[in-house]
Amino acid sequence: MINVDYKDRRPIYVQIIDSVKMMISTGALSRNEKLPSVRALSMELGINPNTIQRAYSELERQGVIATVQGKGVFVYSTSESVNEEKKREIAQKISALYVEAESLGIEREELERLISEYDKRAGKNGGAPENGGSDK
Amino acid sequence: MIEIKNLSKTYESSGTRSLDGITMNVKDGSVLGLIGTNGAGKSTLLRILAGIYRQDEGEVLIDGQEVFDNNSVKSTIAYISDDQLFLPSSTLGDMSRFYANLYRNYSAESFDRLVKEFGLDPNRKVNTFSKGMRRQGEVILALSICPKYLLCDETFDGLDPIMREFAAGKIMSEVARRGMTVILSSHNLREMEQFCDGMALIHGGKLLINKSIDEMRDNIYRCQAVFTGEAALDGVIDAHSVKRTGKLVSFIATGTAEELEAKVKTAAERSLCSVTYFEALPLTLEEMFSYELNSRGLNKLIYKELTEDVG
Repeated sequence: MINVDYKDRRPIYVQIIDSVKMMISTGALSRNEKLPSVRALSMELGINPNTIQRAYSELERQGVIATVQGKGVFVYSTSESVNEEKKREIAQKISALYVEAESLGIEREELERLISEYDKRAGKNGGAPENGGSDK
Repeated sequence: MIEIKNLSKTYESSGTRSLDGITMNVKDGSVLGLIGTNGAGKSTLLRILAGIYRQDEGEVLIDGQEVFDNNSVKSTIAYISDDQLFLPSSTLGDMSRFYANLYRNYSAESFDRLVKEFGLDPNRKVNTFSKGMRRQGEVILALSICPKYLLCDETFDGLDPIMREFAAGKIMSEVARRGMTVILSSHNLREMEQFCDGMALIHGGKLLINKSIDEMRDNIYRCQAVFTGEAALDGVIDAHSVKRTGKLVSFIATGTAEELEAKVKTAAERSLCSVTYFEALPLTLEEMFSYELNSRGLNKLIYKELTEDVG
């Protein structure tokens, strides 16, 4: 499902791009699978077709999807290549967070403690799982 | 194409100048959001475009022709008024037959299909419908006209979220299929992004902002940068809403992401330090408008009214 949330800070075309990548990454969309047409998607989501077109053009530029003249839009990337890109994004986010944490004076040990705490909540590394894993 | 040149309109009864020299074009196949507070002149503009009112000064050309008293042009325009217009004690079916006589390209097949899809009874009297159902009825009739131009005056404000999405989907599908041009008015900014590729802000009868959303978005960013030392932005970047938390500096500035990154590097070099981290994040529609209004020295009141939730 390609999803758009109007409360999300990201522009709608970015949300569509991320949504398609997520579906490829999780295996919900596999290589050579057909994507809905611009018109079908704009009708389904109630979104301006130019916005959908922009998302599709960007995905095509990145080599994630490919247009076959007269046939439609198809998935071109494999989940591995999308995941590789996701990993790079995560690495970037972590370095940004690390810099921010550093500037706030949060020590490296503190960050490591936060990660192992998360592991414990999620039931990893032999820690006891909790319901839902969220603390209030 | 819709061409509006130096358009003005004063209401004789009250003497209010509702439109004051508006000039703008609306390209075919685009969806324009007409934004403004109550009384800004949105409805007046739409009524002139629909050929209901006549302007005092200026010109409105649709496909190169004057609209007022021009039946062949008016036959290509569907207008969904803010006040709902149905013949007394009519059904949607009656209205459909009535419209079929007025509009050249009216499609009874499209009406039958849409009535089923929306789940409305065409033989039930419209005055027994809820307000939302009547709105849906108006959207069905307007789309059955197969208009080249669709003018909606706050049409979506009265629909619940699910029906809103559904009705919008039907309209957007016509934009995609045959390049229908749409102008939507609203006094709320928040939910316009999904529909529109262009936004026009009217205030006090004047056009303050008229830009494509992509053009706006690709030229303004909230930047976050981390420097190795104290970097002065002044003189290099025209930064707004600057916030500093430790080494992290965040600000809003105009330019493409690449231009801004280059400027941030220059700022660092001048202050004899370097950039360890840079990110350009897109602004929301609300933030972009707030920035535009502030940069023109306009008070925040307009913005506040535009972003408050309706109802």
